[in-house]
Amino acid sequence: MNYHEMGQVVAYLLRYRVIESKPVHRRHFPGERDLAVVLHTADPKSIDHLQQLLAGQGFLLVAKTDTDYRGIATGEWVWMLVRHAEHNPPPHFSQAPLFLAMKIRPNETNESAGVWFLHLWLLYLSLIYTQRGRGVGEVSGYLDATFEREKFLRLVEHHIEEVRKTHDAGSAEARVAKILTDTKGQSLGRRVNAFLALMCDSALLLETAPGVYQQSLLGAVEIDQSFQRGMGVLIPDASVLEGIVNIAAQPSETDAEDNL
Amino acid sequence: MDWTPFLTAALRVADLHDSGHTPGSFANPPDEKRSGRGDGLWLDIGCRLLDFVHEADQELNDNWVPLGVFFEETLARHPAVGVEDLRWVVIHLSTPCVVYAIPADSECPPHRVRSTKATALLERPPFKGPDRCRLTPLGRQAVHLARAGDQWLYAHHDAEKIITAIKAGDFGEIPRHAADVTHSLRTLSQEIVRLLELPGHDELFAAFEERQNHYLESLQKVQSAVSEARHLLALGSVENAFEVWRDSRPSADLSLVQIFTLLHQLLQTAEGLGRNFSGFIRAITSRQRTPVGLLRFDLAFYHFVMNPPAPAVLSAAFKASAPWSCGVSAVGPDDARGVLPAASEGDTAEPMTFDEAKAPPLPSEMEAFLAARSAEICAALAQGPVSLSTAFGAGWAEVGGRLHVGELMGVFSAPDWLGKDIDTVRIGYRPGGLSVDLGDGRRLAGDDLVLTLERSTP
Repeated sequence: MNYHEMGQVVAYLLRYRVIESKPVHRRHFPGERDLAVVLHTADPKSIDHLQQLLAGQGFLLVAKTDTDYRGIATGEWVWMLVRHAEHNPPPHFSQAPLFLAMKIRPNETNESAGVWFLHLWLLYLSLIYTQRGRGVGEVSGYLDATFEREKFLRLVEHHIEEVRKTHDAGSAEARVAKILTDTKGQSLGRRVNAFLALMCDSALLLETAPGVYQQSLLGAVEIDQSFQRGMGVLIPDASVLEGIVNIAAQPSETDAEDNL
Repeated sequence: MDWTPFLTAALRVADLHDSGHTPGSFANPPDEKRSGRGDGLWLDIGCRLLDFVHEADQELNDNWVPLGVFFEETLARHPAVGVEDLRWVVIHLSTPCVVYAIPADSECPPHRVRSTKATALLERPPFKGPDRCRLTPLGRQAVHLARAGDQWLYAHHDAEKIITAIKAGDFGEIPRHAADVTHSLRTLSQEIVRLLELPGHDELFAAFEERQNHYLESLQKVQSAVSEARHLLALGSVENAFEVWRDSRPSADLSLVQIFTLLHQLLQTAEGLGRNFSGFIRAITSRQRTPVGLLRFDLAFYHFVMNPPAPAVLSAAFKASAPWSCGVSAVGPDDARGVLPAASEGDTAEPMTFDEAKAPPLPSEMEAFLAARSAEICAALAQGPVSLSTAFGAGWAEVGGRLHVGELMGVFSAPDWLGKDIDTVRIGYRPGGLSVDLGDGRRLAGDDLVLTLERSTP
C-alpha cells in the first residue's frame, strides 16, 4: 500500500466510517471494493504506518473477520474507523451537523437540540443494552440489538410522560424537563425520525428492513472502545442511579408481548 | 451418559411429525410445556436401561441380556418405582410405531409417503422367562448418536474426514466436510471472543481450563489435515481419480482449484481461531481487561433530567461517542450560491429574434471593390491592355483605406466580374513581370497578368 492509497483509505473512512469486502445490508459505496482489496493485500508494515497516521488524528483502524463475530459473511473482512480510546479527538471534529439534524423547528437553540440528542440517545442505549441485560462491553450482541421504530417511539413517549408527571411543579431548575415536555402533536415522532436518520447517516445504526433498525458493528465497537472517555465520564455510579428507583417505571410488561 | 443433547435436538422435529395441524388453519405456536409428569423419571430409567444393555452387549455379543442387576440398581435409585413399572419401560422401548416421511426425491405433489415400522430400540425374547432383552440395530445406532451428541466437540470438527473423502475418491463430499469444519472452528473462535466480553475473571480461568484442549487439538488437527490433503491432491493418481469422478458426473460443479480454495479458506479460519486464542491467553495472563458490565441507561435518563451535565463535559462526551462529521475549512458547492451576483435580474424574458426580412444584406468585399473601381478598370481597358502591375501602381487595390489584393487579382483572373456589357476580355501573361511592393511589408512577385479588350469585329 503506497501513500496515495493510504490517503484514499483515510479519505473514504472519514466519510463512510466502514470498509466491508462483502456488505450485507447495502451495496458497495463507490470505491469501496478497490479499497477493500488494498487493505486486504497490504503488508503489516504499511498497516502499521496507517495506524500511526490515524492515531495522530485520534482514530484507530479495527479489522474484524468472520471468526470474530456472528453476522460477518464467510471470508469477509470489515475495517472500521473507531475513535481512539486514548488519543484526543482531532480539531476538525464538528458537532454542528448533529445539532442541525436534531432541530425540527426553525429557531431552536443548540441547547435544546443537545438535550434532545442526549436523552434520546440514553433511551436508545437502554433499549439495546439495559433491556436485554447486555453489558456495554458485549459487542457480539450487536446482531440481536434490533428494534422497530414504533417500539422506540413508545418507549420515548412513556418516559417523557413520566417526566411530565413528576415535574409538573414548574420549578426554576427544570430547564431540561421543560425542553423535553414542550412537544405538541407529531413533533415527538419527528424528533425520533431525526435521531434515527442521524444515527444511520453516521453508520452507527443500520436500517435492515423498512422501519426496523439494528445496531451496526461499528456502533457496538465504538461504544465499547470509547465508553470510558465518553458516556462513562457522564454517567454516575450505580449508587446514585439506584436512588432514582422510585420515579422510573419500566414498561417491561408491554415489551414482553412485543417480543413475539 | 447424558442423553439430553440427543433428545433436545430431535424433540421439535418429532412434534412436527406428530402434529395434526391442517393446512390453512390458524397458526398456533406449540405449547412450551410438554405433556407428562415433568420430573424426568421415565426418561431417566429408559436411558439408563439403554446404556446398561449397550454395555452388557459389548461382552455378550448380541445374546440376550439379563436385566436382574439393572432392576436392582434402579429400584435402589428410585424407591417409589416398582418392578412392574420397570417392565412397562422395557415394553415401551420394545414396541415399534409407524413413522411417515416424504422421501427427498419426490418432486411434485401428490408426494409419495414412505412409512417404516422398524422403530423399536429393544427386543424382548419370544419365550416366557426371566426378564431379558437386547438392542435392535436401531437401538445400537441410537446409543451411538447419543454418544456423539454428548461429545459434539470431538465429532464435529473432524478434519480427517476430508482426507478420507479424498482417499476414497468421494470428491463431492469434500465441500460439505470443509464447510462443517469451518463452521465449528468459527463457533469456537466466536465463543472465545464472547468469553472475553463478559466481566468476571474467575469464570474466564475456569473456561480456559476446560476448553484449551479442545482449541489446541482442533487447531492441530486442521493444520495437519489440510497439509496432508494438499499433498494428496498433488499426486498424479489422485488427479486421475478426480478426472474419472468428474467425467462420471457431468452436472457436478467442482474443480481442483475450488477444492484448493476451500482448503485455503479452512486454514484462514483456523488462523483466525489461533489469533483469538492467543488473545485469550494474553487476556487471562495480563489481567488487564475490565469490560464494563450492565448499566441502567434508563435511570441515567432521569438523572440527567434533574442534573443536566455541564456543557463542557457534555461536549467532550459527544466528541468521544456521538455522531460527528469533519468540519473542513473549504468552500462547499452550496456555500457560493448566495454570493453569485444576481446577474440574471437584468435579463428580460424576451428571446432574441432575427428579422431577416427587414435588415438589408451587407455588401460583400467583392461588391464593395467593384462598386469603387470597376468603372476605372473598364475605362483603362478601353484605351489598351492593362497589366496587374499597372493596376497596383495606379493604387486600384486600395478602397476606403484598405487593401483589396484578393479582389483585384480575382477581377484580373476572372474578368467576368467587370460586368456583362464588356466584350470579350482576353487574359494574357508576361512571365516574371510582376514585382509589386504592397506597402504593408508584403511583396508580390511572379508572372504579370494582362487584360486586353477584344472588340468583336463587325
